[in-house]
Amino acid sequence: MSALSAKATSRRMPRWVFVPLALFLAMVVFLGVGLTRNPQEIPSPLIGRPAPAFELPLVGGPGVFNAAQFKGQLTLVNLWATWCAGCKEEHPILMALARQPGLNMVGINYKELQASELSGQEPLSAESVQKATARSQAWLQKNGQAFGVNLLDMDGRVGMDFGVYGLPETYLIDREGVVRFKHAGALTPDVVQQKLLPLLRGVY
Amino acid sequence: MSTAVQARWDHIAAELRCLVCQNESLASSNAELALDLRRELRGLIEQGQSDADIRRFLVSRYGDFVLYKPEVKPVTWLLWFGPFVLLLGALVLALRLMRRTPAESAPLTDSERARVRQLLES
Repeated sequence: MSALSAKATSRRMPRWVFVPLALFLAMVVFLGVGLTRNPQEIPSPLIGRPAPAFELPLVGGPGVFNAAQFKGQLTLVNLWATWCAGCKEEHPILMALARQPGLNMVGINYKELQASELSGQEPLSAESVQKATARSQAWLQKNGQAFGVNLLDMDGRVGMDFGVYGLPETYLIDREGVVRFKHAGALTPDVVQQKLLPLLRGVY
Repeated sequence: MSTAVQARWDHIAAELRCLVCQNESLASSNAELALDLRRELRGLIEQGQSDADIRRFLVSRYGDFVLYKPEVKPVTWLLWFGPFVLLLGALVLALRLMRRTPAESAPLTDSERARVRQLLES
């Protein structure tokens, strides 16, 4: 009798009973981790690849900037616009970064005039370009000249090549012209401390 | 826009995700970026680019995330085959459980047999 009951107890809890439990716990962990992640942070396929080739007019001045000029210096590219609230918010951080020695700051004013203001005009009129130029210059005057180079991407075509989906966006391009870092949304002190500065201090 | 271009455009844009409003397709979104991308798509179609070329164009800028149906490649294997692997695992487990023969009952001892008979007859 006692042998029989011992056998019954050992059979009551076969090991496979724990398999669904383990699977469930694994799922909880995966979903839990998923919840802590920011869905707005989409990994950029550009990381580790050469920055897109482009040529854009310098704001207010004659001449153009060619992406080939990225080579040979460490560059922080920031895409912004005067209509973008996050851009104003992060601007003090860009002002501080501009003081970093050896860091070339390039600001690209992205789609300063939006569709509602342009009503599908193509090509863009000189008037629109002037309007965008005046606005972006006034904004920088007021909020600080963080950029050594100021460019105007009126139709957002260059922004598209960078994979911009929400302003502001910031890219770090190394001396070889390769994109090393991207941040979508306003830069925060945390992002600068934990991600950008280590990169700046590191290999480059 | 010709109807052929329109048809291809509808088909492709419905399979692409708008990155600004992530639960909408590029075809249904009214975000400014979606408008730009739709214009770009139309241009690419009119240039005679293939669907695969157009997808490559978008993936190289925005990553696999723009595709509602990501390509089958090592990083997406888990996504594509994971459910089938789970299903297979479940089937194997179920089969093993079902096939498990009931433990052979030990033959009754003489005294047990007597007790059963007594219970049945009472």
